[in-house]
Amino acid sequence: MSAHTAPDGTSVRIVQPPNRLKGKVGRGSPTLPPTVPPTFRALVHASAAAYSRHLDDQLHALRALATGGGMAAVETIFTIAHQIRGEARTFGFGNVGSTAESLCAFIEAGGPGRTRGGAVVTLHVETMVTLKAACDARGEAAGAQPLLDGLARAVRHVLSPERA
Amino acid sequence: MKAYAFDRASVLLVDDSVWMRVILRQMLKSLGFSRIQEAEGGDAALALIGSAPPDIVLVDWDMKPMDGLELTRRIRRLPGEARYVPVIMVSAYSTLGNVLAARNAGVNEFLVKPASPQTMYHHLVSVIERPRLFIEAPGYRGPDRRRRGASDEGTPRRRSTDHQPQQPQGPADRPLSQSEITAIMGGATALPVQPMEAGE
Repeated sequence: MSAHTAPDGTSVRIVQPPNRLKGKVGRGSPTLPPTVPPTFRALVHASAAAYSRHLDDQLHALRALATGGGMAAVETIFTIAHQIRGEARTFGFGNVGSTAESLCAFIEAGGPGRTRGGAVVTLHVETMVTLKAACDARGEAAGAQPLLDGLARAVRHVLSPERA
Repeated sequence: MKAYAFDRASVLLVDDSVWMRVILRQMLKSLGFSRIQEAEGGDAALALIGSAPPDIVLVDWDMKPMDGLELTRRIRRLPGEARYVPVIMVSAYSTLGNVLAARNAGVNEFLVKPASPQTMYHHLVSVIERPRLFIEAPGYRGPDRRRRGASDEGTPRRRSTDHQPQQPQGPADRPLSQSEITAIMGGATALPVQPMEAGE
């Protein structure tokens, strides 16, 4: 440990902490062992059905908030969308996660307060519901991109109408 | 090459989302961890750290009433060696301002959601192989932010007497990529010119 005192009298201690972690885990490869990703996917897959039901509940709540909650519901909508954004992709609902990410960005940009902002929030929610149902029926589909592109155009139309 | 013996290390997961805890727990299990504790919030986490300090803490940012930044600040002020524990923040809030706030709270590493085993492993290797000195100053307690491997010769000083402490320059509002965040957490004062995309 070393201690330094600045000219203004403030004291700064610089400590070399013990590396307990290194002492326990020893040496290892700098790159991820190839067995890890498939093991992770298998572990997550075992929880996917339960997560799917949870996501249905979240989308149901979002739909109720978007249609009847008004501006007071925006914070709650953001909280739920933020969770979906961080979780859905891992469980195989990547398109739903991307839509949630778009909704979070739209709310952070102040979109709900703009003209037709509420409609764009509802559009996001309905898109997530549609993509979730499609994923349940046919698995995650690459064909969702036109839907996501249309959503992006709606966002631009509200946030930057002069450039839409 | 031999694999790290992660089964010998203990991890504390702190996240108020049960599903995020599921994801991170499975990720840690797939890496070989078996000693995994979980807490829904900051108070429970501090109680666990007080009773049996873990070797690593994974912290979510967005929790109530105590968020991940405040939890990290409180960890850094604990008595004894518990305050040195590596803290990895896991968050989707990845703008420059957010990353700087995490760095200034004393976070070691910043992992962007959605997290992958690859990025998790990268950050674990970083705290294992490149531990940092610990700074205890009036306005900051946490890992040393001077650029790794750099000497002080000819570089800006980051002392209380500095007139203008350097902050990384870059766009404030857009989400940063994982490589940009890693550069900022490593003490960079400018963002990489051509950032790699997330998931590298």
